[in-house]
Parts: sequence; structure tokens; C-alpha cells
Amino acid sequence: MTRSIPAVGMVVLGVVAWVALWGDWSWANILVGVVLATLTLVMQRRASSTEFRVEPVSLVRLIGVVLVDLARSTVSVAKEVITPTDYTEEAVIGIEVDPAAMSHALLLTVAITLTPGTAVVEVHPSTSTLFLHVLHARDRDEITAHVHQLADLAVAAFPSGAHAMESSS
Amino acid sequence: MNIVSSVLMLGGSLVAVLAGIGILRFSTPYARFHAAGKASPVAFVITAIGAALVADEGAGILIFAAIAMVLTLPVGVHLLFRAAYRTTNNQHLIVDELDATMYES
Repeated sequence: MTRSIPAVGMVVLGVVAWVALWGDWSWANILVGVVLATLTLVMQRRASSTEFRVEPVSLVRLIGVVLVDLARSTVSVAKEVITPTDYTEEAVIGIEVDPAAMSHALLLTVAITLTPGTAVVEVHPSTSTLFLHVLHARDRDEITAHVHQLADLAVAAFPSGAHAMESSS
Repeated sequence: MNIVSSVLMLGGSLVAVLAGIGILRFSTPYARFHAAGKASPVAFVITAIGAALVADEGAGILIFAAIAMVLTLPVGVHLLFRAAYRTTNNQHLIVDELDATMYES
């Protein structure tokens, strides 16, 4: 079910994004969009030799998990703000993830930092460990399981990442 | 449609206000980053959706701005955490597993 997005598709996506940002379907916008999208694509292809592959089902699941996280993080931080008692017990914990997930470190950092009460402080690629600041240290097991779930989904959604890592290092 | 967008925009504003109060109420830099870095993208996204529903034009820009915010703000928050960790004393942390490995690799 893995799909590699053809170059034309990437350019079209880029043009749509560019035109939406300007808010006007004029020929000038479309033309500049095509040039910029092509340039971006060429630079990306030069940086990594592998194709950009997407597994749509996993990507949708990953986005779903992150959206639920966003809602939960808002509620949990809001609760902590409103209630007078301070329930926070801050800690920095290390979580080891699948080495393949380290090529998605940026994606993981974004997803984790959006998760309730967690944020990435430091990433150690050599030991494939993420160091997280957590507001509630008692939820440690839950957080670890959640990070592993995010890592698995990230690897499943963008399967080429591991190969890109191997060829570049 | 007007009621829905009003509720969304008011809800988004409420979240932003709560985030602001959180920044004032929390006592450690990390807790403040949590308040500022998580609630504010949500506030922006909710408000932007509400505004996009009634906007005559520019709805696409709002949605793209919301997506860009959700994708980029966590990176900034991460850098704040990283900088704060290296410059403050971390004695209020009940567990600190990074400290031991910090200078190894």
C-alpha cells in the first residue's frame, strides 16, 4: 500500500500551497509557484537519493493520534492552569526508540512536543535516545508507550526514511 | 454558520487567555513553555477555523497559516527547552536522566 509520490504530484502540491498563500489564482502566481516547487523538489532530490514515499493509512493514523494529542494537551494544561493546586512533578527522562525512527527525529520532536505535558529537550542520534521533559513524572510508562507508538507510526508512514539514513551515513 | 464560527473564535480566544494565565502562574521556565507552546497553536487553529468559515476571502491563507504554526512552533519550543536546560539549574526536576549522559557523546 506504499505509494511513492510522482514528481508532478509534488510540484502540483507546491503550486497549490503557493497559490493558496497568495489567495489568488493568477497566472503570475501559478508560474512563480511552478518555478519554486520545481526548485524545491530538485534541491530535495539532490539532498537525498531516495524517493519520497508515503504510506497513506499510517500517515492518516499518525495525524489522527497527533490531533487527539493536541486536544488532550490543551485540556490538561488548561486544567493545570485553572486548578489552584500544583500537581506538576517535573522530570527529564530518556526514552530509547527504534534506531530507524531516528531519521524521523524532526517529525517525532514535533509530534512529542505537541503531546500533553511532554517536550523534547535533547536528541542523541548515536544511542537513538530522546530526552523528554515531562510535567507529570508519574505518567512515565504511559508516555514511553506513547512515544514508541508515535515512532512506529512515523516509520510506517514514511518508509523510505531508514534507507535515506543508511545511504547518507 | 455564524454561531459556529463565533463559538470557535471565542473558544480559541479562551484557550489563548488560559495559556497567558498559565505563563504567569507556573513557576518554572519549563512549565511556562508547556503553557505557551501547546495551548497557543491550538488557540490559533481553533480561531483560524472559526474565521475561515465566515471569511469572504483568505480562508486558504488562514488554514495554511494554522498548518504552518502546528508544524513549526514545536521546533521553537524544543529549542527553548534545550536552551533553558543548558543555562538554568535543574534542581526542581525529580528525575534527570539527561544530566548523566550530557557530556558523554
